[in-house]
Amino acid sequence: MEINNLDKIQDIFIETLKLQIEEYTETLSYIEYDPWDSVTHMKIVAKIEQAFDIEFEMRDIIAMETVAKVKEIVAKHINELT
Amino acid sequence: MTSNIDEVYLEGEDFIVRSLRQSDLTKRYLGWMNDPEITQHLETRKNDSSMEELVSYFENQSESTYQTFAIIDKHNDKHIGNLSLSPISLKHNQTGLGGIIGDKEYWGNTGAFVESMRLLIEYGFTVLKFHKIHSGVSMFNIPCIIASKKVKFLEEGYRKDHMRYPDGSYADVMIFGQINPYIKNKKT
Repeated sequence: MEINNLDKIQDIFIETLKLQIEEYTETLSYIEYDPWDSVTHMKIVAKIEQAFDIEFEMRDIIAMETVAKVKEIVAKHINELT
Repeated sequence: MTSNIDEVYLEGEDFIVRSLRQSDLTKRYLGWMNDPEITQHLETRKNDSSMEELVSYFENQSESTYQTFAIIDKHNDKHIGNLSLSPISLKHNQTGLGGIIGDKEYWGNTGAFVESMRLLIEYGFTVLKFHKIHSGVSMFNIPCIIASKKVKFLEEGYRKDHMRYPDGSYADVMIFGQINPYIKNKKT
């Protein structure tokens, strides 16, 4: 994925979860990190959909458990568009 | 009016999970069961429950069929929802787990459901010593799916178009399960 797209995702996570930059890691997970709850998750999903002009299916939304998984699913959607 | 099970009282940081009591059978609770928005994701929804049915459900609990628990906010003593161990199978040493947050003020607070489920799962494994606890969650119920993952339920699969919603649409149901981490009794 291009750097600016990775930056977009990073910005969305840092802004929504109010993270310090060092807290933003590939392994950050909604399973382990309590502030990443269902409401926050849907905010992250909506912001990513808006930023990339894509629409996730329900299974994608559920599968976006970690930052790494989010990047993978966004990349899949971007590639589908190109 | 009595139930057939011993009182259970589990205290967490912000919430208490305790056996449902006669005094919990209020019009407010009945209102939850008849609110289509609250029950939309329940396979058992009917939305025309009566107080008599609620009482009957309460009285017919047993250690071998189902048990229902109230979720109480420790900070204001408010009954905000219920959890149930249902259906219990003593034969297979496992139980289903389900529940609702009836008080809509707590809908933005996944923590209530997560903490309550953690308490009840721990009780189910350490005191009741179930081998397995499982649940089925509609794909449309994202808060419950995320809560299920937070309490370390593992995805076991999907049931395709397993639930029909009032608008006629069908939803897949995700099957979750957790094996008792404290007991090693797998048949080899």
